[in-house]
Amino acid sequence: MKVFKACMLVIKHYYMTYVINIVIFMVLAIVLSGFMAQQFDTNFFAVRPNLAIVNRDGESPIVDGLIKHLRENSNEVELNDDKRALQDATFYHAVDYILIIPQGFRDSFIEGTPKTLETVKTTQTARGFVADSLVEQYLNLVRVYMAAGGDKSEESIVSTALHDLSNEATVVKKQFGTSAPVDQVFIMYVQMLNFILVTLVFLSVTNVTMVFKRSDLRMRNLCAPLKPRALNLQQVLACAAMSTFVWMLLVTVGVIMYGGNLGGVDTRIIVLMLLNSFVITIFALALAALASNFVSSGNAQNAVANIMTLALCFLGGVFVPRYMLSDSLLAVSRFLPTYWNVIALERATELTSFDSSTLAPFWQAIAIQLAFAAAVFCVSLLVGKHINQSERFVNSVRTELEG
Amino acid sequence: MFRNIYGKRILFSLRDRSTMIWTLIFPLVLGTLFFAVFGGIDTSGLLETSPLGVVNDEAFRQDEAFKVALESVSGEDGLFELHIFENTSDADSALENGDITGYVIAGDIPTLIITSDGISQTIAKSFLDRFIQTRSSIIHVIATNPAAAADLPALLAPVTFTEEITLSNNPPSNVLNYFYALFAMVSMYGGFQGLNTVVYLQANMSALGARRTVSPAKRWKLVLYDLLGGLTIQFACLVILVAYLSLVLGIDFGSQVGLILLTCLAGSMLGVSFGAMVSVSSKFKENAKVAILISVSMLSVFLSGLMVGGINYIIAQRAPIVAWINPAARITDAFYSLYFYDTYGHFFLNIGIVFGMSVIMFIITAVFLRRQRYESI
Repeated sequence: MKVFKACMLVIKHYYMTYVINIVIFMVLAIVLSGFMAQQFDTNFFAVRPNLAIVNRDGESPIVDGLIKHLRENSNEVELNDDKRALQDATFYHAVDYILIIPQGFRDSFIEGTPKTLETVKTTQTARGFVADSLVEQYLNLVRVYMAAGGDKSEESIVSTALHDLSNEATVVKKQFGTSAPVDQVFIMYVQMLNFILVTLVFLSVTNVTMVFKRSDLRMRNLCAPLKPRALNLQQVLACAAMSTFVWMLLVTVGVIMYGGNLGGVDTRIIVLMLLNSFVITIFALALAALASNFVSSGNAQNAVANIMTLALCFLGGVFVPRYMLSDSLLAVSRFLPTYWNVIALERATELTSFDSSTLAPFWQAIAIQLAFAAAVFCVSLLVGKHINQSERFVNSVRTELEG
Repeated sequence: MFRNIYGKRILFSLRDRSTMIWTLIFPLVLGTLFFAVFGGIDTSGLLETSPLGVVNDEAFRQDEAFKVALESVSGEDGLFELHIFENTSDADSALENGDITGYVIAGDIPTLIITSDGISQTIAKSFLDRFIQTRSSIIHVIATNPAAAADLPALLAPVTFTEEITLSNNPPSNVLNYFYALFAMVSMYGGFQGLNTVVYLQANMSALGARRTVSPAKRWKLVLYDLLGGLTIQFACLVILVAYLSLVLGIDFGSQVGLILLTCLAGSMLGVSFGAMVSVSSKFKENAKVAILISVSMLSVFLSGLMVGGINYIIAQRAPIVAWINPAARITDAFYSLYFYDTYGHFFLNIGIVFGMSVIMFIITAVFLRRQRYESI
């Protein structure tokens, strides 16, 4: 197993590249999990818009009631009534919605010719709809009570309206199956593994192949008493061993980091999720084998690694949720294994039972990824054979090991 | 001498395929990917019709008002795509399969059954709340003032009290930030130009560096002209990218072309000075320096929103110091300020910080490069 050992030496030589990649990935994972922690809870949390109220009308029962109602149903963000402050809040997405109550609003409302309330929405999101709905419902109820007559005071009308607004529908959150839902941050981590696994596996494979493709070493190896098949097999074994090690390392780190949030989750779901990430590792290995035929310098290696992984991850829906992708793009995405990896991950996390019919869609997505891997590997063998037989290939590889 | 060094540096940069891949080809590919992927992102939070179930039990059949209200907001352009189930177990299985976001059981206080939180579920609950509240107000009006009952249908017709306005030149956009973060990434990759300048000027890093060190030319001129050559190419790459995205793909970055070019220049300077500083201040091999350059750039642009949109806002709110010292975030903000604000205060603050960072890094580079002597190479 001399070749295997030599491959390991080459990989060891480049350990710093792996360490840097893994450390950066970990930092990103921690940042993401820190900001996006969202635990499952059996209570219903209505989406509460982040909302700022600019009151230019002063205090009055109607306006105070509106502010009270909004505060109870949203997260209020304090902002000064200053254009720059309001612009900054919109610029930094600190608020979803700004409500500006104009001067004289209360009087105009009582007179039956209400001034328009100005609203600013950070983006055209459904959160804006919820905020709009809160404002409109309050004012409509107050208007109905005022118009319905009776000699009620403004305070009493507002109080009645607020009482009506406290009536809410009952919400029951159901949990199907015995497993608690998988922690969203862990799902995100496993999904992001696509990116780092493809990158690291690619770097490992190309580091090894680039060295073995150096013309002097190739010529030396070709006259060694070692069958080319054994030489190739040992290289493949070394790359596979390294890929498995990288996968195990990242999975272990993930389980250590997020294991605490996985209590109550069916272990089988976790196993399927990790199996899915192992399948993308196999695909990465095949892809790296194909790409290594064309990579002949360190810079090209980094460039190809980045362009390839980013394209796979963006188009496959790893970085951007699938519902944001257009239909035409989704049609293209279906030809990427990362797309099926995300699908398999979704299917695994949504499992509520483990009979063959419920598991079938998951296995289907896994099989598609494996089929991609097999196809790419076959193409890489063909391309490799073609390139190895061509003369131009000799003397075209440069690595720092030469010096 | 200027023409000689500057011209050859430009020629060298153009022939350096790997650097051109990073600073031109890669961003063009990524920009095209963004254009393809993020086409619909600004409308992604928009209201969409969501599938909602209702159990057709006795209470639902008898509650005509609820039925009418629910049907009035359902349909092709409505809030809900209504699915009627004969019993709760059918509704449960549809919910479990993900065919509906939730289902409703009618009653005095209707019940909404869901499996997860989300905007569709919130809108369903919001609708039910409004229905209950309106019904409560009708009962109250009839009880306190029976004479008003006849006017109720007219009174209950909803009136709109709000109007949406914008505070800036252009509406907020989630898509543009990805492109601005891409510009920041290209700027940071200008580090390759700075790195090349230093590598080919240091005697212990390359044979060319050794040759140039003994040449009868002033050191500062060598460094300055070489860096200027690198900066020119870097600036050109960024401008080509901006031109490609705006003229070919038709992305609107606003009309202040002069200030956009100034931002490109500031970004390019930042990248080149960063690369020069990393290269001159560490004793690693070239590959390790490249790895540091790429890693720091990637971290920096990640935090400015290249991979996960909106993370720059979260960082700005929760860790403002990190946001302010992150060069990529400053470049991204400078571009976005130009697009968003109708004044230039925010823009010039960001540009000032970017230039300031560049000057500091150039000074550090100069300090390290000054009077270097080699005992042995």
